[in-house]
Amino acid sequence: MSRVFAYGIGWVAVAAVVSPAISSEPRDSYPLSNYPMFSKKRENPILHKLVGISRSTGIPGTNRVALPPSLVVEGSEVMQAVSTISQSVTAGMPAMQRLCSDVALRAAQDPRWVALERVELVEVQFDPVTYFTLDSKPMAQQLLTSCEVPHRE
Amino acid sequence: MRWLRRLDTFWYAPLPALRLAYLRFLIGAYSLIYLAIWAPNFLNVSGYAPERFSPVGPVSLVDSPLPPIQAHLIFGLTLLTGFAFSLGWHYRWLGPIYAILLLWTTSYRNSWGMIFHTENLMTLHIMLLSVAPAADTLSLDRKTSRTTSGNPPDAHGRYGWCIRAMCTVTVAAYLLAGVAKLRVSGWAWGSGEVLQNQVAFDNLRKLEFGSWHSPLGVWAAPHRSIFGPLAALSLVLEVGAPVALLSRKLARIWVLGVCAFHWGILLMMAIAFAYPLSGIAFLSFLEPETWKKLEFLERWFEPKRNSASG
Repeated sequence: MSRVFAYGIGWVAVAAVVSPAISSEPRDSYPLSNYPMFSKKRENPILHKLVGISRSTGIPGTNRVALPPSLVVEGSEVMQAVSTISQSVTAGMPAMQRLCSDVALRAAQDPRWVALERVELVEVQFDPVTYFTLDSKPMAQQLLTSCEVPHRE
Repeated sequence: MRWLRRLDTFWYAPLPALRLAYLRFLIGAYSLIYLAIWAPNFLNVSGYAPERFSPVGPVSLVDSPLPPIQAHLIFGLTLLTGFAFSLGWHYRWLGPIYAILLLWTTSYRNSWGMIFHTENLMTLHIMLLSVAPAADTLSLDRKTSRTTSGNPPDAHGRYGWCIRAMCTVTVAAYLLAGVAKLRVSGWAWGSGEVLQNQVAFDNLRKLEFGSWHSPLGVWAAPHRSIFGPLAALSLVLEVGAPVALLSRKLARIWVLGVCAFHWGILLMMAIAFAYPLSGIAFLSFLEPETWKKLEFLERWFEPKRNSASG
């Protein structure tokens, strides 16, 4: 193993790792990244999420529940679910409806969600710190699409 | 020319073959366990809708997702060559092949809209190890070789450069994360406002998704005063990462600090960066060949040693 190889390979690796920092735009990719994930304050971020509506219990607000990532994607990874939902929103109404139907179908096949009647895809906006200090209600909320959970046999 | 000599002393430092071999075995084994634990996630991406395909890294070379059978086959081959890599078997060929397959497999999983940042360093370390003589000892190649004298090779720069490169790449990754914070938010990042906002947002998102979250983060989110010191410490550890290359003592202090930093992220945000959390990411800064608890590996791998030297 010559010195030339040791310097060549090693320095190319280091230069490659450092390269995202040289680019004018912060670059988050793989396997090279400038790791920008915690660098920026999120002012009133918008979230897209799926809400399940079940049969009315008679108590206002108790029939709406946030659907977990496992109904959106295989596994229980939140970020994967977030990414799946936001990609559908970006792609437009047909993609949102397809996602809604897929989630409703998955819920219909899962006995834990037997009471679920409808799935809603909603856009909500929060102030993250206020959420924990004053009020956990969203600053704004908008229904994007909804679909029925297929009837069980 | 004095600085060139100092640079060479650092980069081509005569380090023990055994240390490099331990890094190969431990990081290789970690990567295998990681792949095995997350195998369902690696395999499931093949079932995602093609419009979600957003290729990164070498996967950018293909225009559309691979047929599932092909993706699963590559994953299987990655596991198989990972065993060969860890055990140091036909390392000269299978080492680099594992590195390429691991890069492909992890890039493929990252090509569906979400980057798993815990995989970047692991893959870079495996890639560096794969082109170094990391199986000259503590390996099946060594065990089955008939020409070996039975003694581990002497410390040499050919073993040192890879260890130094791994340390430098690790430090660079943390430095970059610090620089990104400074570029985007300036030194104000150290005041704690952004960190408080990030911790609050991350836990909010998890709560809104009905997922598990951090009770400590939820408790801490309203208390701004907690985040100032944490943010300042994070910036010091990231921007100050290069000090870990200056001495062994500083390296140990930095490694301890960064491990604590990742445990803090886990406790406050329920985000597990498994590679650094496990400490495996920082092994290149340490001397695993001196750890008594790992000596059984030497007995397991090594042919009988000559008694004349050690």
